[in-house]
Amino acid sequence: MLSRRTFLRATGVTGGAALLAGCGTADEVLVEPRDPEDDVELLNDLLEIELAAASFYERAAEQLDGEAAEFAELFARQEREHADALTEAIEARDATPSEPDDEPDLPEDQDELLQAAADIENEAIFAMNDAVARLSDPELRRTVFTIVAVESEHLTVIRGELGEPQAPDSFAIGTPA
Amino acid sequence: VSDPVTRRAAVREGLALGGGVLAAGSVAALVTAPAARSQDEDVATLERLVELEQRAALAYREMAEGDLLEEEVRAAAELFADQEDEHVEALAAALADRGGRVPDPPAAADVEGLEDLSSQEEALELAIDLENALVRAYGEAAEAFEAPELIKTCAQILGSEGTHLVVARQQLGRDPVPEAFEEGESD
Repeated sequence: MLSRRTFLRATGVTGGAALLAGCGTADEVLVEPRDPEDDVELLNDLLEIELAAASFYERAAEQLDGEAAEFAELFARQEREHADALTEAIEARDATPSEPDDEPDLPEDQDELLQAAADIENEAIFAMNDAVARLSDPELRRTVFTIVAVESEHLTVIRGELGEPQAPDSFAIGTPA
Repeated sequence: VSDPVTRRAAVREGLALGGGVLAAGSVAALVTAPAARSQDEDVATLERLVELEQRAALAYREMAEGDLLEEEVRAAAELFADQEDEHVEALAAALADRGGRVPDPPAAADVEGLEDLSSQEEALELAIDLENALVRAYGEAAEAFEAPELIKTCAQILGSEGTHLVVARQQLGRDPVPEAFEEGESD
């Protein structure tokens, strides 16, 4: 399969040294307590991302062909599961889960659609990496870790479908929205 | 005294805490004690993560240098070895910041099954086992760590391990993302 071979090309290993400074210093060991009330806002931000991703994949599955369509169907189900988990966590805190945003139009071209999927995953990864560091509840942090790993896996599959290197970076940083 | 502003004020002014009047130094000791305990725990967790990353790097390198892998898989193993080394480097920096020591590099015998590989399929299976152990360990670290930047860096590394898992699964002809939540497995 083209996608699984091409990841071997142009596999620039980048970013590691730059991240060393971001790894936590002795000063940061004295951590100020997080506010549990902030958790709900963070969870709702992530829920909006998951709802948008699920909606995207559900609609994309109808436009994509072959294996890509199958992946889109699978990813839609998995994003829904993430959204359900986040909704449950929000409701457990006696808060109201966010509603889905309006659905943007999708590109018609297959590659553009896959690129849009890659963008969604990259933005989700960036947002989750940021949010998980600010969550006060350790169990929530672990749950978000199990989700962000899957978003990175989705991105890896999509890169393969696009014929791009699947593992270009040592650190899954994502991209800001 | 839970919020940081109040804590800082208490340290600065040596105010009454819990019914007793404490000197500023005593209050500071109370405030930093939990963090000091956390630092010891962080060191232990970081050492564990470094050990797992070192083993994964060694395994990928040994696989890449052996003769069991087809060229494209060999190239992937070489790339992943480099990436695991970068993870070690990042974690080692955090470890040093906390007064910890990077574990000695492992030998091939320290990676269960590495010296017994006899096929590409077995090598990929071992890669999945090592990655699953890493995923599990990072999940545990997410609960244990409190320093935000450390948690964030671990999340970024975790994503990389997820990438490795997908590539290994696809090379074995398996579902690349079999679960909605990637929890990993204990080694």
